[in-house]
Amino acid sequence: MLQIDIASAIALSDLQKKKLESSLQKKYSNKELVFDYQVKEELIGGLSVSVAGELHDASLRARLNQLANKI
Amino acid sequence: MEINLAQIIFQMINFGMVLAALTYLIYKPVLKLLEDRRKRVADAAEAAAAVMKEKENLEKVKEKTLSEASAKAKKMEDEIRKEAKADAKLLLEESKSEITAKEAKFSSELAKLKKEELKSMESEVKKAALTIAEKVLGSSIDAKKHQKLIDDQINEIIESL
Amino acid sequence: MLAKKYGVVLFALYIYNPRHMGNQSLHVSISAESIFNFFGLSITNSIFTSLIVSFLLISFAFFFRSKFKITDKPSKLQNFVEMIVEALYNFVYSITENTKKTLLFFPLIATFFLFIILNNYVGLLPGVGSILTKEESIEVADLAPQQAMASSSPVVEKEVVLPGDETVTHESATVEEVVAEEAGAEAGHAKFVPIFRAATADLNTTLALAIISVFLTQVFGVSHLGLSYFKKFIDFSNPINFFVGMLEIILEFAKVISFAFRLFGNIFAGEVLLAVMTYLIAIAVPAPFYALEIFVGFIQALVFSMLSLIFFNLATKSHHEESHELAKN
Repeated sequence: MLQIDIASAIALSDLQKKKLESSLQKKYSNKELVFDYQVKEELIGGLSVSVAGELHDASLRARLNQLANKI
Repeated sequence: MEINLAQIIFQMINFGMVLAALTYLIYKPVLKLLEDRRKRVADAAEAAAAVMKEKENLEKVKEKTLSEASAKAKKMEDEIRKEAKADAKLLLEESKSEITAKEAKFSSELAKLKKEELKSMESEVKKAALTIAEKVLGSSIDAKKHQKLIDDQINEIIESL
Repeated sequence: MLAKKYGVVLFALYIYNPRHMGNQSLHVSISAESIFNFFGLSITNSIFTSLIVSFLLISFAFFFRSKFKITDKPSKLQNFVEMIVEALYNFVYSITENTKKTLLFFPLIATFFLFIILNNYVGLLPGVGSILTKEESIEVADLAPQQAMASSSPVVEKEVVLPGDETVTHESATVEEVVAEEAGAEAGHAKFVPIFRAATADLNTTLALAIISVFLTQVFGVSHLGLSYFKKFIDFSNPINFFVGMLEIILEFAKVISFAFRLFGNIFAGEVLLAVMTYLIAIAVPAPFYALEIFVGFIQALVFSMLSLIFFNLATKSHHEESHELAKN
């Protein structure tokens, strides 16, 4: 069983959820996936996906942080 | 007038007897007494003179000691003064150099401080800029844009998977 | 008060005036007269008097020695003697200026002074020269043997002249008469002579003292300078020095004569003066002369001792020292 946490600035639509779940199931086909959705406004925009501790953050917050680190 | 040798000799003997008696019975003891007395007086006078001399000597020594002591004191004073002057000069120089060193340190510290200040100001500015950017970003994104962003990102994630 | 004292003196003089002693004569003799014989030595009145003086002096010396104490608070007697001794010592020291010499000369000089002054003053005592006794006859016997036989025994007779005696012939005697001794001898009368006579008024005594002084001068000279002392007498370096040396020898003998006659002359003259004055005017007038004789007696004793001292001192100095001292002065 693989826990997948998905945080987004606004709630995801079902289509969006289906698209994400199917593509993830394709990747981890041999495993049972558990999806947990959260709304986090501090992300400003976009979403972040964490699979078994591996974070794929594509939110605007992450981008701003990257900017702050650069300057 | 007649000169009679026997009578002359008789008178010589007579005189001799008187001489002997007076010499042994009067002159010798009295002269000895007088001599002793004179000697005692002389001794006393000598002793007195010795005492006076001693006193004079002591006074001289006292004077000498006093003058020596005052000279020494003066010399010491002079030396101390000189030393103090030298010390003061040295101290002055030292403090001067210390002050210059401190000044240098201080100025370098000041420079450092300025730099830090500047840095912190810079970061503040950065922070402020970020906050402003965040606010502007937050208010500029509407639901449509959110959806579009999320769709794009989902595609992105799927691609990266 | 003073007048009273003076009166007492006058009275004493009056009492001791020979004219009131039962002898109205004026007795003046240039030589001492024999008063008795003692184992062949004719004892003259001057020897007799000087023996008494010596006896008194020696007795005083013994008495003083018995009372003498070594103390800083001497008795009156001791103080007096100390004073005299000290004065004489200083006197001697003032001439010699040398303690050793002073101690050597002092006993002699002091004794000369005391012996002479006492014998001088004895002559001034009342009774000396006025108390008479019969003259010892030995000399008379030599002069006139028949008279010695007449008196038969040489036993000494001492008799105070009584008034009304044979000697009354002397009652109105003049000075010349008495001085002329032959007068009495020729007359065959027992001669009366004073029992006391000042020793210094006898040439024999003064000669004895003079000889002692001059002889001791030579002794001191030799003891201090050795035989070189005689250099001043015997000097063959040149005729003039030799002659001077001879004069020095004569001078030593002249010293004896000068010493002896000076003392004798002064004292004897004083006694004659007093005798004559007393004989002529017994009251009041002789008093100043007594004062004068007291002075003369002191001066003569002083002169004799001082001259002796100077000669002693000179004899102990070498010629070198003498000239050195002269140059210094």
